[in-house]
Amino acid sequence: MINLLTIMNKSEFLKLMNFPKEWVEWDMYPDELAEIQMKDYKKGNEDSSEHDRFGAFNWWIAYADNEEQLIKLFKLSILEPDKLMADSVRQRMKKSKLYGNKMDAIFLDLMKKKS
Amino acid sequence: MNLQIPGTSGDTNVHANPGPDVVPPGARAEHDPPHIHLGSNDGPRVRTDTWEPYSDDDARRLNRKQKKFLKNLTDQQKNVISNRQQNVFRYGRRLAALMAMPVIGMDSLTNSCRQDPWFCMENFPYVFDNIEPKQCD
Repeated sequence: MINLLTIMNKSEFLKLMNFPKEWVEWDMYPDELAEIQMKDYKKGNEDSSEHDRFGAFNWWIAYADNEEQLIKLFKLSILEPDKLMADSVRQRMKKSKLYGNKMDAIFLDLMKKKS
Repeated sequence: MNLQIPGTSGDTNVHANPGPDVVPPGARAEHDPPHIHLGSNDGPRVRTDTWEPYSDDDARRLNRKQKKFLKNLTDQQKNVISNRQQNVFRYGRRLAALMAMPVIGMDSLTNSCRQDPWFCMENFPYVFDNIEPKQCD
């Protein structure tokens, strides 16, 4: 396994894996998450970079501790280049302990604005 | 993970990846809708609900051999592939752990599953519930 931390920084990794820039701008790609993802990198993973982005969504679904983070995550799912995967993310977001009727209403509103 | 579909090799090997419930949060994971990768874990994607390329980009990535393979798949082969994809999605890393377990001390059912994990996944899936997931590709 390549120790990617020594040859690539977080920004380069995010670019390689096609993360929309908002992941950083909205402070949604912490070093803790970067460490998990970058240490598992193998050459060729960029050919299926949606697996890493999906992993990042799942990290937040597991660890988000406030509604603001979950709303940002939902907005990131709208920006996600793989639209089918993004649908899968939004389904999984319902597993978050923060999810409820209030979030449902916010998400519905965001989806309406999107379309 | 190669689904070991009879008659496949090289570019037509059928791969599937573990889903989000059997990997640690943050790790690479497979997602819905259900699909396979041809040739490698990162190869062009084909949906197993429609048997069409997952996206236009995936359609462009399919080579002639892979297109022919998809065109000639029988319903029976599609069923086998679809079942195995779902089982890898659900148990992926547990399968890798099973294959790495020492045989000594293993009960007879687990040992049988180790010898034919695909049959086991389809018929005795609860065996996998007792195995600790392991990192794998």
